[in-house]
Amino acid sequence: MLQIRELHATVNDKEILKGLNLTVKPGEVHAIMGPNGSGKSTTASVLSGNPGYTVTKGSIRFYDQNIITLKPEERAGEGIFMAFQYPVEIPGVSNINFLRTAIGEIRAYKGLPPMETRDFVKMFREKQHLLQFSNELAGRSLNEGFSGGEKKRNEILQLAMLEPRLAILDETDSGLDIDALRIVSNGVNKLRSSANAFVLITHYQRLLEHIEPDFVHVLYKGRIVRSGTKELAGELEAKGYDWLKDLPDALTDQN
Amino acid sequence: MNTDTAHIVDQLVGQAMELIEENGNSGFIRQARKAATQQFRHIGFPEAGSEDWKYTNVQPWLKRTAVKEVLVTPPVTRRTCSEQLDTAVRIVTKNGKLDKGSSSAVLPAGLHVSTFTDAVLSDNEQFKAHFGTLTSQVEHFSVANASLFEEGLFVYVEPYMESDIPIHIIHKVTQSVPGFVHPRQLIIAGGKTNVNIVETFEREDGTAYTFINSMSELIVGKQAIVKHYLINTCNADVASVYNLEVQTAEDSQYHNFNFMFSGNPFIRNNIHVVMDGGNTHTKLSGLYISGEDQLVDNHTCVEHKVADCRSDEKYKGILHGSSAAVFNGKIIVHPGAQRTTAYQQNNNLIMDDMATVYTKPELQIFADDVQCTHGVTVGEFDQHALFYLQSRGIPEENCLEILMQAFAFDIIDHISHKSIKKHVAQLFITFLKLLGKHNKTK
Repeated sequence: MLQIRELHATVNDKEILKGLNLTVKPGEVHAIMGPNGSGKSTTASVLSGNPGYTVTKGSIRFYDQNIITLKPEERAGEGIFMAFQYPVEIPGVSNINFLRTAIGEIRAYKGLPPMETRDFVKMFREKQHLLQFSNELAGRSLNEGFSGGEKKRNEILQLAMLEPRLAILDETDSGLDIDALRIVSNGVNKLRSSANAFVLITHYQRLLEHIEPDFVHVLYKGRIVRSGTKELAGELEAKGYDWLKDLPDALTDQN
Repeated sequence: MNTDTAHIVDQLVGQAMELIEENGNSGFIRQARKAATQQFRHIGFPEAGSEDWKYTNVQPWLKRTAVKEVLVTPPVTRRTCSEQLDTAVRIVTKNGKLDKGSSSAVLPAGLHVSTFTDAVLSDNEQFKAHFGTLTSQVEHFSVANASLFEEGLFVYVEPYMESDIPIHIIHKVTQSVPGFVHPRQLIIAGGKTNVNIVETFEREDGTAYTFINSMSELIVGKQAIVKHYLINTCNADVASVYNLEVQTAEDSQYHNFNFMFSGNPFIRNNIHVVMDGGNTHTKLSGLYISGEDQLVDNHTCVEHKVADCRSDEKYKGILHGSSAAVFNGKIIVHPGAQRTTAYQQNNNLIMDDMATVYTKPELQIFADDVQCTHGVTVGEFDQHALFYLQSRGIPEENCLEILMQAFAFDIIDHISHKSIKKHVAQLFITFLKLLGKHNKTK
C-alpha cells in the first residue's frame, strides 16, 4: 500500500528527514515512536502534502503511484488521511457542513455521485455514537472552542466518516485524558479492517496499550533506527530514548 | 475648492440654476436648493489630499462624466448579480425619479410613498417638518445632491406600523449619455414602527457611464426599530457616492447593513448617524469585497449626543487583486453624553499582495463616563486552515471560498430577517463564485 524509500525532507531549509524507509501493507498498524525532534510530525506532514515541507530526495509510493507531486486534496481523494496533532479552529464553518463537503469532494474525486442526505445522516449518527460526539459539538463551528479531547475525537470522527485507506494519527494521544483516550482508541479499533492501514505517531507507549500495533519503529534523527513488534514499545517505555544517543554512528547515519 | 474640477462645478451650478427656475411651485424646496447651490459653488468637489479624501481620488470619476464617449460594453470581467428579493414592497426610481409603473401598485396600510413635489402639493406636515433638516452643509457630495436632485422620493411610515415585508427601494440608472444622477430620499419612520428598509442600486444594461451621487435622510422615531440594508450590486461603469444622514430619537434602535458586492470601480459611502435621544442603540455592519483595481471607501460617523446610548460597529472586507479599501470610523461622544458605550471594529482579509487597506478609527470623546473600544485587523489567509481543509479532500479554490464565507459569516448572520438574510447570503456566494472564476482566468 505505502512504500517510502530514502525520503529526505526539509522545512525552512533545515533537513529533518534523512533517508526514511517504511513499508505499510493493508490491514497493518504501524507505530512510529521517537524522541522530540526526531522527525515524527514531519513524516505525517510530508505524507499528507503540507506545503510547508519540501521533499528533496526519495519517493513515496501509494498503490504504485508516486504521490509526492499530488496536492493535499488529491492525496485525500486517493485515501490518505491525517489526524492532526493540532486541529485548526475555523469559526464560521459548521462541523457537519464541512463533513458533508469533504465527503462530497472525495466522492467526486473517485467519480462517485454525491451521498444521499439520508445515508449521510445515518452514517453520521453511527459514527457520532462510536466517538460519543454530541449533537451540540456537531452543530458548532469547526473545532471552535473545543477542548483538546473534543478536537481529537473530532479528528477520529472525520476519519470514520471519510473512510480512508491509510490513516496517519499524529500524536493523537497527546493531551488526552484516560476517558478520551479510551474513546479514541476504541473508535480506531472498530475502524480497523483488512483493507485499511494505520500509522500511529506517538511519543508514549500509552496509546499502544489500547491500540495494538503490528510493528513498532523507532525514528531518530530523521530515519528509522530500529523496527520490531509491539514488545519494542515496552522496551522503549522501560529504557526511555537516551540509549539512542549511544548508538554507533554507523547505525544513525546510514542504517 | 478644487480648481481641477471647477469646470464641472460650473456646469452643474448651471444645471442647478435651471432647476431653481423650474421649481416655481414649491417655495421651501426652492429656497433650500438656492442655498445648497450657493454653498456648492463655494465648496465644489473635494480637494485631492484633503483629510476626508486622503486615499480616495474622486477626480477621474468626476471628469469622466464630461467625456461624451460612445457607449462601450463594460469589460466582461466586471461582475454583476441580479438575484431578486422575493417578497417585498417595491419602490423603483429611475435616474432618481420615482417610477410608479415599476413600483408595487398596492402599499401596505401605514406606508406612504410619493415624490417631493406631491408631498409639497398635498401640504404634508411630516415632509415640511423634516425636509432638509439633516442635510450636511459641509460634505461636498451632500451639498451637490441638495443642489442638483431633480425629484426626491418621500417615504413615510406611520407610527405603530410593524411589517415583516421589506420595503425595497430600487435605484436604477438607465442614462444613455455619461453624466451624474442625484437620487434623493427622505424616509421617516414614525414612533414605535418596526420596519425593514432595503436600498439597492442597479445599472441597466446599455447604460452609459454614470456617477451616482445619492443621498438618503432617515428619521427614526421614538421607540422605533429600523433595519436598513444597503446593497450595492452595480456592475462596471458606475461610480457611486452614497450619503446617508440618520437621526434617531429616544428608545429607538437603528441597524444599518452595508453590503458592497459590486463591480463598480469607485464606491464611497458617507454614513452619519446622530443619536439624538437617550437609550438608543445604533449598529453599523458592513461587508465589502473588492477586486481588480476597485476602490471601496467607507466613512462612517456615529455621534452620541446624549447620555445612555450604545453603538456597535463592525466592518469587514475581503480584498482581491490590486483593489484598495478605505475605512474611517469616527465616533463623537458629546459633552454630557455620559454612560456611552461605543464599539468599533474593522477586519480585513487580504487575498493578493497588491491589495491595500487604509483604516483609521477616529474617536472624539468629550465625556468622562464612557466605554469605547476600537480594533483593526489586516491579515492574510490562514495557511493552516487552508491546509486543514485541503487535507480533507476539498480543492484549494473551494477552500478559499469556504474560508471567505467563514470570515464574513457573522456580518450576514446578524440579519434577523429570514428572507433578506437568505437573499444576501445568496448574493454573497454568487459574487464570490464570479470573483473566483475571474481570478482563475487571470
